[in-house]
Amino acid sequence: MSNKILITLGMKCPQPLFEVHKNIKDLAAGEILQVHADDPAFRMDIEAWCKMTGNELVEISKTGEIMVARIRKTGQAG
Amino acid sequence: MEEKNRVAELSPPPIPAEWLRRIEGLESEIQKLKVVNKVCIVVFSGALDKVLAALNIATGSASLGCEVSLFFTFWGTPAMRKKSSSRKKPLADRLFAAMLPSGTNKLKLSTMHWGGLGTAFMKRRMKTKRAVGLDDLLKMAEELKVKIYVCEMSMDLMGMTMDDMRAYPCLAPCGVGTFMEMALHSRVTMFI
Repeated sequence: MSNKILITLGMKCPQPLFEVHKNIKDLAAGEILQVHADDPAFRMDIEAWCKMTGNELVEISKTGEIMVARIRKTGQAG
Repeated sequence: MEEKNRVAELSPPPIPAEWLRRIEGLESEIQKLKVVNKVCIVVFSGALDKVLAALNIATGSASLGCEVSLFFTFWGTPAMRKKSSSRKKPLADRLFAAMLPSGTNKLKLSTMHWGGLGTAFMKRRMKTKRAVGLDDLLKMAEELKVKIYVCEMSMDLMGMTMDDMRAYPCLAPCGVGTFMEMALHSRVTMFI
């Protein structure tokens, strides 16, 4: 099972969501996309994105300005 | 008695053709009802900030899996224009064209334009803050298969045709009927 890391540092709304949407397409069901972001809206946005697309937000952590979200692909790409 | 039942089990009565037809009809109706979140945005304003908001919502909702259609009408129409068009046109059309912004780069802020100073300042700030600009948003929209419709009547009023519009894969002219059909099937309709 291959996981993927996506860096969206410096990107502003709505680009991180666009990148997540694009990058999760390449994953198989059950695989994890790890997203690094520093857009302050990212936390709420990615929660909404996961809810809307049926993917699982495994965890989200914040160190300083940088948030790391781990998303398990369980739904559609969005 | 038992014997009779078994015979009935072995050869069930044929389903009437009428029923089959109706089941087929219902199945196709169900297919149509499958929830696809559709979003419909009317871009009436040609102000930089408002078109930015419209495209931001469009690309954001498309990233969330929504099917998005944008309707550019009235002052929003010239936002989708090409930079310049060399077509021969009547004088009135050329005059109108000269007064309207030609494309995304020429749009002004709805407030704080300040004779161009405010808009230029905002654009610079957007660059330093790495906010996504109109052209990049349109590129994203293209990738997300956001459909863009341009109001036929607005184009006519402003002396434009589809030849004056920028290159975009899902760009089509439309009327109020097209818009209403989309709006009635959309979960969200916005007027910006």
